[in-house]
Amino acid sequence: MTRAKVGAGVLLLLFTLGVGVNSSPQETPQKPSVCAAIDSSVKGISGYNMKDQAALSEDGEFLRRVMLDIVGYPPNLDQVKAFMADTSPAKRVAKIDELLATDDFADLWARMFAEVFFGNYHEVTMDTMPKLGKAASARIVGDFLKWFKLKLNKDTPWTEIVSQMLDARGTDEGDPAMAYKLSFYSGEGNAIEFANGVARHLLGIRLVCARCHDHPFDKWRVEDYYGLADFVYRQKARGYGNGGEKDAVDHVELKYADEGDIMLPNISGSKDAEVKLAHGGAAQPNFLFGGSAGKNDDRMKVLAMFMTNKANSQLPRALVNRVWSWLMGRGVVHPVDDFNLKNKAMATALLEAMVRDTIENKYSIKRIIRAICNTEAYQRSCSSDTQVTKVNFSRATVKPLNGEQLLNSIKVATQGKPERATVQTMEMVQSLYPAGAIWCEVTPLPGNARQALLLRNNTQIMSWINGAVLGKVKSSAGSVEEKIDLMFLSALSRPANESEKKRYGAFLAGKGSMEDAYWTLLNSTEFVTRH
Amino acid sequence: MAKCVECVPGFDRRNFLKFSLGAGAMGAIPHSLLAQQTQAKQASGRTAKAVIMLWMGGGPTQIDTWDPKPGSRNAGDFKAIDTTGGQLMKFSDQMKVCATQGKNMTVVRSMNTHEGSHERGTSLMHIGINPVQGLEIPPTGTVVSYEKGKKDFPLPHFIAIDPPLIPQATTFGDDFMPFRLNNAENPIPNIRRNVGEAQDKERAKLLLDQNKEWDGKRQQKEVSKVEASYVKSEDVMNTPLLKAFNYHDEPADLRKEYGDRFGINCLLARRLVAAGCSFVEIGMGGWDMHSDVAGNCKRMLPTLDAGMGTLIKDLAEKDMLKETLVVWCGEFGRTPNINAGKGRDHHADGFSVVMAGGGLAGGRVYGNTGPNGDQCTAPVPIHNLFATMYQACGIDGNKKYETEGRKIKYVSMNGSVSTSGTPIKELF
Repeated sequence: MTRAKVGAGVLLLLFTLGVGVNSSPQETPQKPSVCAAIDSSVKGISGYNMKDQAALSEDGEFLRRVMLDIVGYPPNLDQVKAFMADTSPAKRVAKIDELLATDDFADLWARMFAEVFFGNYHEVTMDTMPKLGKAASARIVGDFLKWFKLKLNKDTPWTEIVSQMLDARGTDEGDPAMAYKLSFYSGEGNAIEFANGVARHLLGIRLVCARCHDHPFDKWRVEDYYGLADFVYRQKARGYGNGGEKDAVDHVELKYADEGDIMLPNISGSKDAEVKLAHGGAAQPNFLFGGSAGKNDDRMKVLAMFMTNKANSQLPRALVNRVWSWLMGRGVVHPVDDFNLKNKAMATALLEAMVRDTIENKYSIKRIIRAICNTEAYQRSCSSDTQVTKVNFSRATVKPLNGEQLLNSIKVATQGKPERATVQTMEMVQSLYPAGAIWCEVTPLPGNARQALLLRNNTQIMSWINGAVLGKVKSSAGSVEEKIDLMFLSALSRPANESEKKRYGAFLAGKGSMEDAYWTLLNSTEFVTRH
Repeated sequence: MAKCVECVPGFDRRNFLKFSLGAGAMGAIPHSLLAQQTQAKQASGRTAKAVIMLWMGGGPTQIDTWDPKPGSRNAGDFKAIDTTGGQLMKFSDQMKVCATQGKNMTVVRSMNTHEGSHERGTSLMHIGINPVQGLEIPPTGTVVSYEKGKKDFPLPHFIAIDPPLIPQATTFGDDFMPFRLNNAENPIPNIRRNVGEAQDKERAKLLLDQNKEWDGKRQQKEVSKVEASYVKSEDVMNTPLLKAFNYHDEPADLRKEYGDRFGINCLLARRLVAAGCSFVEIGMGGWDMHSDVAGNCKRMLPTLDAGMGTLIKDLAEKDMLKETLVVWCGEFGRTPNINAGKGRDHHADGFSVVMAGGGLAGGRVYGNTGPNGDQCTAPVPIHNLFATMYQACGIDGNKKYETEGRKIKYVSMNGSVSTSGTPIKELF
């Protein structure tokens, strides 16, 4: 079924590019039915006023947004022109499907998930016994990324992906999902990091308060915290094989002991006595939302089952909320990993409609993205005459770009095509992040003065400006106005409006050069943000 | 293992007295803090406007530097020498320049954190509390620059030169996060215009006009952020304060006194503080001396001594020391006993932190590690060190900031964030 849809997307791509393949009416792609429910509950968000509601985005604005979000780079001049010229009423639906079928989508989104799990996934610590060497850790994370990308490409159910991550076993050579669990061998020790990480990454819950005392403003008790930790407590990571690095090994095997439970700490005498403190004793492998592993059960399998069971709606809820936040600029519950009794969802109905739809559609990540991108809420313009103090999705949210999106935007605007160059990207933006920040090429940029300086003054970028795209504009036969239009289409994915034609016309008629005009477009707020 | 259990005991007056008596009873040098209080008043009376933190990555040895143990089985290769900081304050003979500055220095010999891992120790000595997942606890540099930083200051408030991994707290804003200086010769990348000034003005005018139209209809958080950073980039490009980075302007003799890379970074720090930066952190790595501690020390201590000693002396001579607090520390200290590889291992229960200037009296020694360096009396828990540093800067440790919807004190005790620390008042 997935394959058939991909086929349709490709056909439509050919069609939109003007190749001339006719798509029959029954292949016209449809919006997922849940879009209407989402749009109606967005309008119910407190503070949402019809007078604030922005119009639907123009084609160029939409295309730029959806490409930056799904594949990590903006459209080039030809793609913008083709999309604008396409008269099919379902062209946006088709474009979303087409992008979701690309390798670039899976590649980018695998890294976005990996950044949630590992932070900077280029350097993950795995302090197994003995600990894994740097090269070995990098290889294991690399295998994980390839595996995760394949799962996204195939649209494997989220439940299946999560099961495999939690139940990874055997050796790293046999199980590419293992990096997730191995990354918990650091910091406070495996069981503790596992409980913190699994709750936060997969359930959107910050459990850590309950490590010493019952959670002060949520329902979690100390027993819940150690109950989750206890599932993994018997797991032992034995490193083997000499990787050439000092005191480090090249491979790892996960094994499970038959006995042992994590002990609760015995805390007394703290001055914060308004909450119940941990008071010692062995933990039981009890799951947060009920259920426990029996004496002879395989604990990791049982945990994977509890986590992915239909009864655990928090797994899809945390997922849809995270994907929503990536695409809409803010979670329905925000921060996305802080679901608690006090932190209310902006629109419960919205979240629940998406949760239901996800469960009914085999926990498909592509389906969630497709649903959100096809809503009116996603497709609204960010331009509006009114101001709203709080994000309420009445207009598109302006978001920072990440390093890869920024460099890709510059390359598309100057060379006409994106270029995945992770090392170059990281070198270029590394001085923008504060010392000590953990970041990689898909981490949002800090948007500080150094970033402004990079765009303004960097000599490499300035030399790129004088590239193929501007060369074509210069040598084109059209009038100055047409050239201005071409510059706007190439850099900002939209034509210039009347006042812009006047402004840039005057600049070019005076002392201003084409390079300087193009430089202003690459430095504009519009260029350096996702909107 | 669990954080709350390890809540370190608070230090109070009673504890201090007990230590005084104990030391006397053991027949060691009587602890004469009170006597010193009268003698070394000269540097006190002000609070620091800026902090220079000298970060010793890897965990520096205290016995071979500030807490020598002459005659002990743990003494190591170096002798003890007198300093200008009074009878109690003896340094290792490798710290000759610093010894001349003893009167301006404060040595805490009884730091006690129980934290022997590099990563966690580095975090702890920067934020004063164990990390709490999901909460951003600001490092000292962020707190100090946020509290003391001048408004509309065009340079970064918090500059980190060769820094370790400093924990992040985004809630205070980008201005108060550590600005990493990678290269003293090119301190702020992309600071120079890539076209002539007149041409730059022309294109910048066009850009502003263009932004005005587009941004005007999109008054959102991210848009204002981009606008503000553009204005700030302009300020940085044009400020005469950029001259602070030109350490080559200093007399050649003085540059030579400061020494090599670490020393030059110290000199740069003095210039940056003079220009108005409120926190400069300088990293110096290589202190993880599990083997051959003597050989490694002979290689590194002269660099440290020249840089740090000259910095304190220079600050004092330029009358800047009373408003600048210098703090020397690493993630922990090193064991008193010397291991089979002639090295010293991690040691977090009784190690040294050294301070100078700011609101501190100078010429003071606090705490004692006994004749062999392994008996720590008057232990100083991390929150009391932080309370002391903040008091020296005139910052209220009880002041609260908000992170992820929770209000937390600048100085909080591990496992009990509603409890603050107590400044070591004997140091003021």
